[in-house]
Amino acid sequence: MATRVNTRLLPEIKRYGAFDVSACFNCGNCTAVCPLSQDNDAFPRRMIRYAQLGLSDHLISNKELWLCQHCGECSETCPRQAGPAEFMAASRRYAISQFDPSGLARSLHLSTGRILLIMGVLGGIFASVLLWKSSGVPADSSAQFSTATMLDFVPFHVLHDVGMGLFALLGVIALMTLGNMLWMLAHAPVPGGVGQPDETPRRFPVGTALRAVGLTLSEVLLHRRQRDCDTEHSDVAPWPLRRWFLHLTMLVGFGGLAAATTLDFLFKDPDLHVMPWSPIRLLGIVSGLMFTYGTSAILIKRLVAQPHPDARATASQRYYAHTLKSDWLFLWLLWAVSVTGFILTAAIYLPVSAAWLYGVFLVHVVLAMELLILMPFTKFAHVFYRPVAIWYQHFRRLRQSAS
Amino acid sequence: MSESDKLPTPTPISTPSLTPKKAVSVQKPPLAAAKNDKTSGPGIGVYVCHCGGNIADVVDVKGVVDQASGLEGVAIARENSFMCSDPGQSMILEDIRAGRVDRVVIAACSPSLHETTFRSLLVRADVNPFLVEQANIREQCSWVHHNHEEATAKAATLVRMAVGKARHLKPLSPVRVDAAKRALVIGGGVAGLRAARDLVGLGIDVDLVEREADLGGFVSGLDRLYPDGEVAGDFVERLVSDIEGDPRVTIHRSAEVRRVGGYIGNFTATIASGASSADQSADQSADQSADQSADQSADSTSASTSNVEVEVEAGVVVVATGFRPYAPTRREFGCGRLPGVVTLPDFGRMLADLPDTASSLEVDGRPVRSVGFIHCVGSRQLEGVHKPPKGGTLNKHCSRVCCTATLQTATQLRDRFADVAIHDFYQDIRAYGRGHEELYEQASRADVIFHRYAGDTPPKVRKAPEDDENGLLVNVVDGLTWGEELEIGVDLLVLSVGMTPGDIGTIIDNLKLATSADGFLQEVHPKLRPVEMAVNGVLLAGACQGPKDILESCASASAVAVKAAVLLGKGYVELEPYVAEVDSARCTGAGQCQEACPVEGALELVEEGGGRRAKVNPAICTGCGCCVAVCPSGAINVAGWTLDQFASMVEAITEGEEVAS
Repeated sequence: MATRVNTRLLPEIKRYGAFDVSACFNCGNCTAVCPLSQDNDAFPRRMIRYAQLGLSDHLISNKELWLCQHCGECSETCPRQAGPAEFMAASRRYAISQFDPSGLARSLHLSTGRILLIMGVLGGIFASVLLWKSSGVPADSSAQFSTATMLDFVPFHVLHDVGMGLFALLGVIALMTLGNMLWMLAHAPVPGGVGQPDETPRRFPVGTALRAVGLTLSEVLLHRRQRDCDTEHSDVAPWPLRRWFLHLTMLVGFGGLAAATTLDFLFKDPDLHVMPWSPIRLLGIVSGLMFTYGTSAILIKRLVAQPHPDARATASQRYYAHTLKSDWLFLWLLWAVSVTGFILTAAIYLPVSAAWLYGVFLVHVVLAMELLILMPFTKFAHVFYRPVAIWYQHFRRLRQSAS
Repeated sequence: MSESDKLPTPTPISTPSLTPKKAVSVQKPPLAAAKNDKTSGPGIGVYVCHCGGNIADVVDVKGVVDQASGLEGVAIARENSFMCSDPGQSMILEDIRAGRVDRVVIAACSPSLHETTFRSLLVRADVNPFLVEQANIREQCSWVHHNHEEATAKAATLVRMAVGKARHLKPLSPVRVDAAKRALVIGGGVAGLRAARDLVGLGIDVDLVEREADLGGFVSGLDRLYPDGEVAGDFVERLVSDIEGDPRVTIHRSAEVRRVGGYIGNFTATIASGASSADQSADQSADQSADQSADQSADSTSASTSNVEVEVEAGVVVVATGFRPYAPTRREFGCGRLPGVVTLPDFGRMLADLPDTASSLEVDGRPVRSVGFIHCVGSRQLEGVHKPPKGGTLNKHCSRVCCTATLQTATQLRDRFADVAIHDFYQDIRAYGRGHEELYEQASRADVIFHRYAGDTPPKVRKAPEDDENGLLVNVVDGLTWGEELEIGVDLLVLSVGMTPGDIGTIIDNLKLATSADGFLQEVHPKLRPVEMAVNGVLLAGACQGPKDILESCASASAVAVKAAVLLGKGYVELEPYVAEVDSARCTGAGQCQEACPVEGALELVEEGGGRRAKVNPAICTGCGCCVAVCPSGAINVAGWTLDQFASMVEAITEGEEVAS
């Protein structure tokens, strides 16, 4: 059965940041130099061909999309300056938009106006709900800023209920989009074909699947792939400023903060003032510091790197040249949440009292909620998709070597 | 100092009947004229070359020299490490000047390398340049043998043969023929126009013959030209305006060359003007617009009724007859059978005829949303995949221009219609010229989607079902998609047809021109003599020689003009003296020679001294020797290669055998 070709997909993906990909003439240099494209993988070339032929399902169902870490080696090597690395990034943005049936992700990726509108509306809703039963800022302006006064400003049960609701909603959306992705992965064509179905899976090998989970976890936690990528860079920064290290700091920091928050919620009286060295709080503080460092450093790197559309730009210059509005949204959100959190924590342990701190608190909570609820629609979604793709790769490899 | 400076003024001899007006002269060789007998002169000098180690490493040069010095008629035998070097040449020069030798045998490399070197040496020594004989003991001996003794024996034999031949060497003179400073240019396309313009620029008058009523040939029917998008009509107009109205150029429109004969310097051609152009265009391409040919016949009505024949003379004939675009059969990609399948030239005309303001392209009233281009239609055909036309051969060649022409057309299409999907089906993109690769990239960036098919699985085309969004469906096994079969909907399918040889049988037959396996005219040597035919004075310009683009056609046309100027510049042409000679005393007029002669007009029987005698036209004779073989009375010989000489050479070989046994 021949595959019907349409030319409408390519212009669409170009809008997500693959501005030069039309120049591709399918030579395959990109795949040849890619440090991560191994075995039967054939990205970026295969992905680009899917896009040229309009095979949207083939493109977004492919785990290879998520195996790329955007080192930029391929774009440096490309004889036509077609930007294969940028194409991979654009395709991931496109895939995120496709896994979300609501169209929200697409709006966030393609329209600055919609970003502002959505952020504004969501922020307004969250702020009004949170302040609904507020007792207001303490009248005594000299009162010490503390956990208790914050919870007077936004009552704990409101915070709790909204949070729980939000998590439930997030869970539903995440399961839906992830379900989309998994369904597509399972029905993805085998490498080497666009029309052939995957071989019929026999009994699902649980042991193999678990071993693949182990491999995935160790790989994600050690950032093996990103380090492979970084070693290929021609402009390697000192290790505390390398992409893989900053990303790892953010990941660990974010995870630590999530853990500390959950533990606080489970074991701590909300009104109780704890000392910084109590174990859970210590975890939160250290994680917060790491998170703030990671987000700030990455933000600064992006800001100081001049956009460089020049064909002779280095890999990292190219990498930053293609920061889209949606990338900025995600990064600024992370940074704003981490910095406001840092200020609030500092204020609790310092003898300060100021009305504006309650404003910071409100901003912190509202942005954190926005960050969470927009997770499946922004770049943040890679936190689901990438580990799943890596797991799938390990799973397939283990199964193939077993048979 | 050139050879001709040393040669005497030609003495006109009686003119051959073919061209009574022209003077042909065979000079009486004066140099060493009295010494044409081996017994009367000092003798032969044998000069054996080491060629560094090329010869000496294998052949015992000293031994060869020793053997040679004892041969009959040999006065001196010497060796030198490089006979072609100044010391080597000086040695020979001194021997001649001192009167020690009067003819020379060089045992060295191939004559194709250094024969002219040694001939001019003889001219410098005031000896007839044809009194040198070269024994090739390098290519034919030392380079191909390893055994020293056997190689030396063979070298000695070769030298003995050369000496045997040299004993019978006679002074010869090149045949001189007065040449008309005119050129007949057949074909008024870009190559013919360019050649005509350059020829008159070099002082050579031109008769330009064009089959159609208008000049410009194939290019005049195109829209825009690669790589810069120049308007084809403007380009042709510039070429035409350069020669139109020039009194030195006679343009014969709607005309055909009926007969052409003669030889370099003295061609004659019969041109039939006013040949009905409608007839000719009909067999070229049946679907060419009817009103166009009607216009042409209307223009030339008076001429075609009278159908005037004129005779013209020319020193050289420039064949610039171009090519014929491949006409796909109905089996190929549904051409002529399915609506919306056209050739690239047709599509170019469609675009040219479309008003600038047109917002969409239509085929049969149906909007065109998707266009496909198929490369290599009628080119690079394979045995077992393609069927040759009746009585014809497959077009195995690459037509070279279609890749870039297609890419140019695709980008042009994109410029005019931003929303049309464009698909390009290719085997290999051969964008070889300056600016071509850029067009390829430009087409890519304009979202032309490329699909690569293999030669043995060309795309298949069929009509789409009624409910399909496109009119045609193309199926292709795509090498860029891991050999998967893809289906592409198009509304217009453009076949990039290749170039096939033009229909010029009359000219080929009249001039006895060589064609190569692909049917195009074949030059003497692709690098050394790229615009000359084996027939002296017939030159090739443009795509009659094989697929060429405009740049290449114009370059070859300009080269032709310069070559013509070289050939005709002196007012006469010199031909090799190795032509048949008749000994009238022995000739009995039997006439077998004339029957055997493969070249028309080279040999005829004339009344002379009361009987029939064979008479050779040295300007036409190719020196093939057929006449020599059949003459019952041994009255004919080829100068420089006489039967005596062959006998001597054979004798020299058998002598060696006796020695060996």
